[in-house]
Order: sequence, then structure tokens, then C-alpha cells
Amino acid sequence: MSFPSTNKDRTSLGQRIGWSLRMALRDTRAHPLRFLVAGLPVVLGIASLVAVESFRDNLEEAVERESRQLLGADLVLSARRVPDAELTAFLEEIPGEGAREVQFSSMLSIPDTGESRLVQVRAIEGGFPFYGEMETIPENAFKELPHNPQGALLEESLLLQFGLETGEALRIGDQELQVAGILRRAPGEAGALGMIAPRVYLSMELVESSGLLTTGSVARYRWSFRFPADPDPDEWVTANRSRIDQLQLETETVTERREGLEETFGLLGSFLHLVGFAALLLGAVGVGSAVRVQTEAKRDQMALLRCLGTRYSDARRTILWQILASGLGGALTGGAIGVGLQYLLPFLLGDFLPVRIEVSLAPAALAGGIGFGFLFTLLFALPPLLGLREVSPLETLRSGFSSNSRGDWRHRWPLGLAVGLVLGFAWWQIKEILPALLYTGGILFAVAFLALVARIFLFALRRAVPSRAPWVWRQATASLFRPRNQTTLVVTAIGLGTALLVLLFLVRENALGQIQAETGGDQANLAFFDIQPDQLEPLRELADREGFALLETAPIVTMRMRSLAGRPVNEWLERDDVPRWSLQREFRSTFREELTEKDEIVAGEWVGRVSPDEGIIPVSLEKGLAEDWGVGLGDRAVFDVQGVPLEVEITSLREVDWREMRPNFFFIFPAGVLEAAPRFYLTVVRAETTEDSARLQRAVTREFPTISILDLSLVLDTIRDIVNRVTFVIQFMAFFTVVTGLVLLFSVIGTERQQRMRETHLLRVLGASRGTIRKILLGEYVLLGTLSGATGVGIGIGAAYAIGRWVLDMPWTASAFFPLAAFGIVLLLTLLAGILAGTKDINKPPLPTLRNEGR
Amino acid sequence: MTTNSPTILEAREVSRHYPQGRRRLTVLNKVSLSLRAGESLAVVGPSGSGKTTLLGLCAGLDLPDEGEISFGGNVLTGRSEEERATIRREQAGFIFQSFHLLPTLTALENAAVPGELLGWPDARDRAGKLLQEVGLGDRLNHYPSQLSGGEQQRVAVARALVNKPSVLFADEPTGNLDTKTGETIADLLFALNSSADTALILITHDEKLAARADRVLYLRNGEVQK
Repeated sequence: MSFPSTNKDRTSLGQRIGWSLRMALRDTRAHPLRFLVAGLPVVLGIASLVAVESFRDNLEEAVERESRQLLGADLVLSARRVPDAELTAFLEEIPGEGAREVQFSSMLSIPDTGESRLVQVRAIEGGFPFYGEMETIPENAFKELPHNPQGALLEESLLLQFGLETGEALRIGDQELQVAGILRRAPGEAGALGMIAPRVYLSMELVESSGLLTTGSVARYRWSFRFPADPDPDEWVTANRSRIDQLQLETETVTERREGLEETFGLLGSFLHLVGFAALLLGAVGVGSAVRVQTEAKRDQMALLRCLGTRYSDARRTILWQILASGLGGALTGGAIGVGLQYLLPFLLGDFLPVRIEVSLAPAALAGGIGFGFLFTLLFALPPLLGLREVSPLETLRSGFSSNSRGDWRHRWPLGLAVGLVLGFAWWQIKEILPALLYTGGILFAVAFLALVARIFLFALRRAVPSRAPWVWRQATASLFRPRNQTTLVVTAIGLGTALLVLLFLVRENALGQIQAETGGDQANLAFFDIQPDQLEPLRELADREGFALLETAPIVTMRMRSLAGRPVNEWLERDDVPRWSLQREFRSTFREELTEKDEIVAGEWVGRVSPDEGIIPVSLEKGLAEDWGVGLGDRAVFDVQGVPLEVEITSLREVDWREMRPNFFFIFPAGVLEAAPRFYLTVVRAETTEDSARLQRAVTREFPTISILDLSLVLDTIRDIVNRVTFVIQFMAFFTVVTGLVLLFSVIGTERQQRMRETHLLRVLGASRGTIRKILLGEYVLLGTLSGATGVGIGIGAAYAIGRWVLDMPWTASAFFPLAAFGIVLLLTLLAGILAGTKDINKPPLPTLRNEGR
Repeated sequence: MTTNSPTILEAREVSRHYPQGRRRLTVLNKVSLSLRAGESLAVVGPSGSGKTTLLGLCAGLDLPDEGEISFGGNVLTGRSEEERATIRREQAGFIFQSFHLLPTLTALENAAVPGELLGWPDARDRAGKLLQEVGLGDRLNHYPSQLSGGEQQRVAVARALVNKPSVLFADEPTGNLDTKTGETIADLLFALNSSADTALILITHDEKLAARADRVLYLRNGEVQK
């Protein structure tokens, strides 16, 4: 100190910290919960952070634990063609123990009822799975399968659908079989895998001897291997890459499967994190505002302590402890709830996971979530505290004197830090800076936009309530504008959650509505495939007899690509910018003379017929694939059509709407070349009712057991089920933001309580009845709920419309019911929160409050 | 108090102006005063005469635009708020018209605050003794809301003396109290002033109360009335 001091001050830093802590404790003694309540808004945000991160940890552990079981083998090779001599020779060179498997689609039907369903038939020969077990009932059903030539192992969903039990009869294709057991789980496969075509395991002997697998059926062959200690499977694949590509084999090793899995669920986790983070952000803003209200109320105390000579740092510390306590209280409560929620996620997503999640406490995720949430909350709580530096001790002498410090940008640096933290978090989750910047910008824009809309609505409300309106309504409106009100914040918070929920719901409804529309009207809803050429006419006659018409029939010839634009496919595969699947796949192409009206040529000209001895065949290619490959009109390709090379030239490009349920193709050939190639047919039918559909399916399965039928209404149900489950998880997180908004409302009502009590009691003294005050209160929350609901629902509808129109290109099919219901619920919840928190002081006698005025 | 006592507080030609729109409002104009240890000075004048502004300047709550103030041998002019706070902590006591007790602290805790700020281990004992002296020995653990106005002001008096200040600043200490209670508080103030050898600056409207001080300073429109 630069001036002579009296040396009365004997405090050490430790003593001063102790004093501020004592003061903070004394301060919270009267209202121990007040500062803890301030921390409530971040609870759910932190809970979601902890839950998602813990879930990810658990998933990683499960993947680690079941690492080898993920594939059931060290290496799996697969191809969509019958192995030839070259491939067989290559497979025999592969070290270790091997097993082979064939997978194809077929119809399962029940002889008694004639009911049927498309299934995926699988047959395995050899010791697969080498790691893990096929979980079946009875336990040894899978191992017994080779000794039970008539036995079929069925996925549980099939038994439930048809009411089947072990030992009962069923038919696959034209084979009479018996249920040998139930398949619960196959190593490394998610439960939801067989939702469209459930899995049925048969013995290889049965499949090979029965003719179930006819020529032209699309089958997938898989060879799995258990490697000896040396070589390493991944190294072996790298060393043999060129031969694998040349044989057009697809490979999968445990490492690849794991990486794919981690990537997929990493993405899901990041997405959930980003949605949950919105709740945290909102909560942190809420804590900041609650702290602001509370520190504002402490200005008098601050001024007095300064007057008595308290150091600024000591005075500030007394409030800092309370902020730390509320932040920590919120973070710890959030952590505890997050641990609870962690149990819910595997339950919701379990069917999509190929591993069994064992939920356990993930200390790093828990500590990380709590720590991050706490730090983030603190950054939002600090600016009001820093603003107290400007409080002058003169405020003690003059009640009207205000050293107005709010809005000083110098106290806003923690908010800048918080934005940096948001960006850092997004970057960490998304791993790329540009989308992270977009997320951060998007979230700031969304909050700013909502706040703006809320302000516009508030402004309009103030204008809309005329001076002649009943006094109660004028008073209710005025309550929303009381000094230092948090109305914009509450409207923004509840509005953001509501907007998210409405948006998600409407986009889902529109998407499902569109699929429904595509299977409704005169659109086809049954697809028949694997039709042999000689079955086509009898099938047409059968359909006629049953009163159905084959709407669109297309021949299908399978082929593989050898070279494109003058370069072999192997060379193309070395490029990273071209999707591998698009070159390695088995193309199912059609040929026709006349294009249908749905085939829209966007470039070049369609050639409908060529002579069989034409050297280079003019074909039409789908535009999207042409763009992926970077090829265009005049480029050539060589196809291997079941052993015969065929050179083609792209002479036209077509726009294909893949969402339409009709036979769509990448390549369309002209008539005159492929007629001699082995082919099968695909046709689609429209069935008006479920009964019609079932009747036709029964008839076709009975007469043509080898023809496969895909019931699109079943596909639709499946898609709806998947979409519902996924959106439920997202909506669940979005719901957090709504609840956070309501918690915020509670906390704001709590912090404004003193002010409200003074107003209420003053009105009581002036002669207002309790009924009138109750009406004012109700009016205030009706207005607040209406504003919040209208803001949220309005923005949700607007965003859903924009996404539907410009991003997903979908017509509007969602009903107005949900947005209206959402509006009603928000209004009701706001009203309820207001009544619960606001009416308890009405019945208190007014005098004590007024007597304390000014003290 | 004797005429040999050292000067504890001195204001020389102090002025304070506030901007009012484009004009400058002079609240205090070249006011001087001095106060010796143990002396009492009443500052009287009508509302808006600059009494409270003068008190604020003398206590270092604000700084003058012109002139100089020295308090306990330290020139306040040019000192930072934090340095002035140290001087207040060590040498000043305050009593306000509206008491200004911390509502969440008991009477004893309120009275002990200035002693605690100085790190005195006996702060609570001193506060307890002072509360006994002001007649609140049985109210130590009561919160301000459980005390009457007069009792609250007595707690404030105890708080003002707990750090053994050299100057006691009292801003309308009886302004919020009825006549009888006001007189009790005034008796208390003057008694403690003389027994503790603490100088007292008393701002008041009340001429009768002012007359009990050693000296009276009349202010009108920011200037001293001779």
C-alpha cells in the first residue's frame, strides 16, 4: 500500500477467502435452495452430454470385448456370382480354416393358411461362426441343422408373425420343411437386420439338392476364414489386393467391420450430442440470466460492503461461491440423471446394434460431461458478476443512484469464450472445421432469430393491447415488461425446444407421407421378382384371373463392369473419389425398345433397337451415377454379361426418381442384344386392400413357389418403425430443450418472486381482490405461453417447409394436428408452471413486504 | 475532545459538479471543513443543499472535482477506489438513514462484519459487547426482519463502531425513526462519540439534533452559510 496504513488490517488471503465463504454460507442459510435452483436449467443438458458420452464409451467397450465376434471370423470374402474355377482356386490358397455360405431371397409360406413372406435364406457349410455363438432356442439348433435336412431355423419375428412353433410345417419355395428352432442372434449382426426379409437358416445339403437356388436367382456367396497366428488378416488383404479386385470380391476383416461400426455409431453419437448440446446451451443461457437477476438483487449488498471498505475481490468472491455452488449443483444433478438415461439408450437402439451393450458407469464420460457442463455454465454466469465491479459504494447513500454497468462489453468476454467452446465442442464431435463452424453459426443464428421473433411478437403484443382493454389484461401485459424482465429469454428457450420438436415431427410426417403417397393411389405396392421367362405368361394369366394387372414388367440381366472410359475397373478402384460399390456391384440392367413415360432423357438421344451383330451397343445411363463417375455422352464401358464381354457407349442420360416404387435401372439397353442372355423378370402390381394383397400373394406362392414377392406395405411399416425409433431418440433429446425451457421459466419465476410479491401486495393494499390478482397472473402466463408456443410452432413449421421444399424435395403431407397440439401443450405447461410457482404468495398478508421496502 | 487533538479529517475548497445535459450542475462549491479526533460536527441544510454529497466525499465514497480531502493523514484525491476502501475499512464507520443491514445475517453477524474484514479474531466478541452496550444483548441472533426500526439502527451503530473508527459518518441516522426512538439513537451516538474518542460527522435536517454537536455547518445550494 502506497499510503500510511494504520495496520489495523491483519487479514491474510486465506482468511479473506474464508470470510467470503462464510458470508456466502450465511447468505444461503435463509434460502438454501435459491442458488441451487439457479443451476437447474443446465441439468438436462449435462444429463444428455453424460448419457450420450457414456453410451458411446459402453459401445466402444462392447465392440472391444466382442471384437472378434463382430465378424464371426478373421476374414470374410463375398461375391454375387457362382464361383468359377479361378475363384475356387484362389479361395483354396487362403490360409487357415474356411467355411462357405450362400444367401438368397425366397418366399416362406405356411401350408395351412397360405400366408407368405419374403425371407433371406442362408446356408452354411463349415465351422462358421469361428468366434462367438449362434444364439438359438433350443441351444444346439444351429449345430444340429446339417443333420436335419428338413429343418429350418427361423428368426423370432417370423414365428410371431405366423404364430408358428418348433416342429410345425412351413414351406420355402417349393420345399416342405419344419421349424427346427428360433434364431435369437447371429455374431456381429444387429437384431433389426432382418426387418424387411427375416433370416432363415437351412442346411447346405438341402439348398444344393432342392433346386431352391435356381439359375438367375440373385444369390450372394460368402467365404469366411479363421486365420492361423500368421499372417495377419489385414496384411494378407493388403498383399492380395490386386487379385481380390480382379476377382471382384468384396472383403471384410474385423478391423474394417470395427471401423465401419465405430464410424456409424460415432456419427449417431455426434448427432445426438449436437441435439443435446442445444439443451445445454439454452440451460447455460438460463443460468446466466438467473444469476443476473440474483446478482442484480445483490447490488445493494455489494454497495454496502464496498462502503464498509470490503475489497472488491472479497465482495465479489462472496457471490462467486454461490454461483459455483449453483453451477456445481446443476452439473452433479445432471450427471446423476445422465447416468440414469444411459440405461435407456441401449434399450432404444439395441436392435440396431451388432453387439450386446453392457451398461456400466463410464467415469471419464461422467467426469468429462460434468466438467464441461460446469465450465460452460460458469462462462455464462460470469458476466453479471463481472458487472458488479462497477457498483459504486455511493449507491448506499443514494437509492436512486445507479452506476449502470449492465451491457458493458468488457464484462462479456466469458461469452466469447463460451462461443469458442461451442465451436471446439462441435469440432471435436464432427471432426471437420467447416461443418463445426456451420453448427456454431447455425445455433447462434437460431437463438438470435428466435429472440428476434420473440421480440417482434412482444412488440406487437404491446401495441395490440389497447389502452381501452380491460385493466386486468393491461396489467398482465405490463407484467411481461416489468424492469429486468426475462420474457424474451423464456420465450426463446421454450420456443427453441418447441420449434425443434415440431420440425422433427413434421419432417418425419412429410417423409412418411410421401412414401405412403407413393404406395397409395394407383401406385404399385407388390413387387414380384426372380420370375423365370417361362413363368411370365402363366403369372400374367393368374393375375388376370384374380383380377389384377401387371403394371410394369421388365426383364433383368445381371452383369459386371470390366472397364469404364477406357480404364479397367481395378484402376478405377484405386481412386478415392469414386464410390467402390458403384463399380464392384452386380448391375441388374434391363432392355426395352420404347422408354416408359417415367424415363426422362436429360441429355443425348435414346436408341430403341439395334441389330444383334452391332459392335458397340448404345445405352442409357442414370445421370447421378454418370456424375459420380465423371463420365458422359460418348464414354464407353465393357460389361461382362455372364462370361460374354459386351462393349457399350453412353448415348443418353436419364433422370431417375429412386423414391418411386417401380423398376428403376442404372443402365437401360436397347432391344436386340440381351434377349439371348440368361434373364429373369420383375413385375409390379397394385392391390387395393390388404386382403387383396394377401389373396394374390397366397395364390402366387402356391402356384409359383420360387417367385419372390416384396410387399411394399411391409417395407413401409418397416421404414416407419425404423424412422420412428430413430426420431424418438432425437425427439427425446429435443424434448430436453422444452423441459429446459420450462425449468428456466420456474427459475425465472423464482428469481422475480420478490418483485412480483411487492407488486402483488401493493395492488392488495390499493384494494385489488385476490381474484383480480389471480386473473392478472393467469393472463400473464396465457400471454407468455401463447407467445412461446406461437414462436416455436411458427418457426418449426417454417423450417419444416423450407427443408421439405428446398432440401428433401417433398410435398407437404403432414396434418395440422401436431403443431396445434404442440401449441396447446406448451400453453398448458407454461400456465401450469406459472400457477404452481406464482400463486403461492397471493394469500400472504401484504404488510410485511411493504414494511421491508427500502431496507 | 481538546483543541490539542490532531485533525483527523480536512476538506479544502472542495467542489463537485455533475453534468446535466449540456450544462454543469454544481452540487458543492468550494466547501471547507476540518474535524479533530473526538469532535462532532453536524451538517444541516435543506434537501439538495449538498449534505450527502459532502459526506460521500469526506468518506472517500466519491472524489471531488476540485479541492483536496485528507483523511487520517492520507490525501484521498488521486487514490483508487480500492485504496480508499482500505482507508474506510480501517478508519471509518457508517450509519445510514435506512439502516442497510444485510438481511441474511443475524444482528451479531451484521455488527461483526467490519471487524471480520480486518481479520480480527475477536470481531464477534467486540460486536457482542457493542450490541450489549446499545441494549441488544438479548437480540444477538435475530435477523433484521425480526427487529424494529430502532433496533435495526442500534445494530447499525454497533457495526459502525466495531472497527474502532476514527470518524463516524452518520447520514440522517434518525430520519426513519419516530421521535422517541430517534432521541435514544442520538443519545447513543453522542455518548459513544465522546467515550470512544471517535469524531462524528452527522448529516441531518433536525436542528435540535444538530444543536447537540460541537459545531454546526450550514449548507445552502452547495455553499457554506456563514
